[in-house]
Amino acid sequence: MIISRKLGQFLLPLLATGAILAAGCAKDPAGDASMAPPAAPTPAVAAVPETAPVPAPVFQEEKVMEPAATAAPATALQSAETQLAALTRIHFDYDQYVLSTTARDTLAANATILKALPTVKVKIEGHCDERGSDQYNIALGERRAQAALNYLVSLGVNAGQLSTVSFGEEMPLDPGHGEAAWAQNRRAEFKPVK
Amino acid sequence: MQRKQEIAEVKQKLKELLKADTRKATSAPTAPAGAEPGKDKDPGSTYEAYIRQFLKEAWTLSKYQVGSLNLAAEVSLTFDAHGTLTDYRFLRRSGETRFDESVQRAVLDLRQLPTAPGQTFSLRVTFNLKELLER
Amino acid sequence: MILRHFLIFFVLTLCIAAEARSQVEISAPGRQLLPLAVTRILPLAGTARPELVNDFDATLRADLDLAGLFFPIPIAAYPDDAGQIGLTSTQIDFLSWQKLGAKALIKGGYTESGGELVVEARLYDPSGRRLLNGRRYRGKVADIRRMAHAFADQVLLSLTGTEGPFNSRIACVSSRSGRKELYLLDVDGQGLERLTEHGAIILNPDFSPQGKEIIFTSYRYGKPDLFRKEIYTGREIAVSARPGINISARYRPDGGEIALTLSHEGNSEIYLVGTDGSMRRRLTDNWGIDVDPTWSPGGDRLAFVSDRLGNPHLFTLDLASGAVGQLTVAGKYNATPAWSPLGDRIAFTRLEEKKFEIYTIRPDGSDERRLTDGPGSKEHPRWSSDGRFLVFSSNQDGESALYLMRADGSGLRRVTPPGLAASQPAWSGRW
Repeated sequence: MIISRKLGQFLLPLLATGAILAAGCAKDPAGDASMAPPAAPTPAVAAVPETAPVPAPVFQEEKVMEPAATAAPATALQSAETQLAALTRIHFDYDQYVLSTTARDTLAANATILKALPTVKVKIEGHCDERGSDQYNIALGERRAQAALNYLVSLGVNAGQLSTVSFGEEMPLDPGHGEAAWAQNRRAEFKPVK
Repeated sequence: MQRKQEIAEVKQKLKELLKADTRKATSAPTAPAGAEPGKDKDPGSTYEAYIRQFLKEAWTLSKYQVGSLNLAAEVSLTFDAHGTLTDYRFLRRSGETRFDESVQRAVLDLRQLPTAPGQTFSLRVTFNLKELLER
Repeated sequence: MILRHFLIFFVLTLCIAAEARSQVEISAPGRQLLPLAVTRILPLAGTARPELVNDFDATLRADLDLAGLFFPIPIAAYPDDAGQIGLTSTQIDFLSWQKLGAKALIKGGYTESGGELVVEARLYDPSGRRLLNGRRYRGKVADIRRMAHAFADQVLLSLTGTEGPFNSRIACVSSRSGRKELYLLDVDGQGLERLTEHGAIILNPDFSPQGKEIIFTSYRYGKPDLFRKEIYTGREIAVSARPGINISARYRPDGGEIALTLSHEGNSEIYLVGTDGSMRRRLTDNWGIDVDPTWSPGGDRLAFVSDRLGNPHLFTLDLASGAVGQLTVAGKYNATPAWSPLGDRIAFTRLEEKKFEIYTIRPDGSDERRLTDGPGSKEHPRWSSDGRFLVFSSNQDGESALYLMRADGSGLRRVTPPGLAASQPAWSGRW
């Protein structure tokens, strides 16, 4: 019961984002580096394509990370919740914390949401894949989270809204051990602070 | 298979030890192969091969007993005309107790040469771990 | 140049001349394992408890096997003296052991009464016909294996000059409960105890060199903070909960201070703090990630991991001068250094074809040696307090488990039982 209600909460905005995205992608060749972060007229245009089609792991992951999220939100906050749910995670290359063009686009979209909700606080979680020293990965995860935070602030998000935490390799999104899983796990996540 | 070989080794060792005991009791010891005692003026070189072989086999030391493999000790051995070890002296100690003790034990196992050299002689033996170092 | 060649030639000639007559060199012992007899301990009074004897015998033999310096004489070859209770030099038939070639002989006895156990153990030198070491242990029946560990340590002391590390504990992280918590076990994988119930993520323990205390990183408060726990009282405090990360903490060998990685000033740097967490000073200052410090035995140097040259490599830091030197050159990813308590080598891991292998290197960067191979990743090497052995975690058997090996990579064996999912070990000093 609880899960299905929660599922609905996250699935709707995700599907919506995905649909708009799919349309946008078809026209717009992806990965054009010269396309510096546009002022993001709509969040959807800048959203990351790769995360949209994988809803299943998202729910698994949310279950672990945010057990408190099952508390029913007040009606007045419903729209904020919905918007926050659209905050999209970003991914990184191996042993890197540099923001890719795709990540920057995603962050621009996230920045728009955060600026619209100036009272909401968000914790940025840095994560790594399982390879490498776990202690080194905690430091690396922190850099990823900080890179995301700094970029959001550079886009005008109030620094007071943001904080970071690194989980290193401890909370993989995909528990697998292949390149695909590792690529999923090298990420920064945006979690509303209750 | 390795175990069998090890058991065989122990039995061999046991034989050797028994041989060492009888050698002291009997007066007709057998000469070791490759060390035909002649009437050379230098009994040291005559018995060299035997002594090297004997001491090598008698010397028991694990590399895990010593803190370094860069160790060496030098011992002077003196035999009387009957081939009995009458004196040994450390010309140089390694400085590591375990190493020096193991050398001393090996030397003390060598109480008697298999044949009488007919004259007193001395020889110097160096013990080191060069073979272990190379690995 | 010519002069030097001439000198070398001259010296060689002299050496050859000196060695020419009656000089014998023996460049390795003919027998590099000590023939050892371990007799079963016998009941001194009261009823026989064969299951206790089995525990003692198996534990002692396993420890001495790992030590690597013995050849166990086959039990079938033991003389009648093995079954005779006599424990003093005058009562032992040394000649029968000598004939067997035994260089070391262990005999013992025990008395069990109402759960109370006394074990007498003796180490003899059969050729010298003398007692090398004798111990009496009093305790509970449940202590039998630890008594065997303690005696194994004494056997090593007598035969090598350095006490063994078997009467100690290994701490590790296990997710057996569903969360990563801290556990404690004996070096043979027995005696498992759970130390924490944080219900979060616990990482990277390190034992205090002095007491039965342990420091570790925990996400108990939502981020990586450093905690210290007294193992027997259970008392626990957050030592460093500064903003950012508080990780990879290591006690200085004298126990007086702790080196760790903090990021409260913005970047991951290594700092020195008191055991109460109070700031002493910052030790590194570089844009890169600096983590995983490990102390030299003298406490005057650190080795650590930094990506300041691009990839994670090992570096050393001289605390007095602040001088930093690069330790590893090869490999693209070097991690988790552990400085041997003997000071002569630093163990670390290197990523090789998508898995980590364990290496050691001299503190001056020379004589690098790879210790492991085969399937699975090997991570988190840590030394025993005597520098003889390394414990590490590996997934080579499919699940994460702890393994032991000698400092030269030989004698590999698994420590933890199936299902424990253990990783990130730390090895205590003598308990």
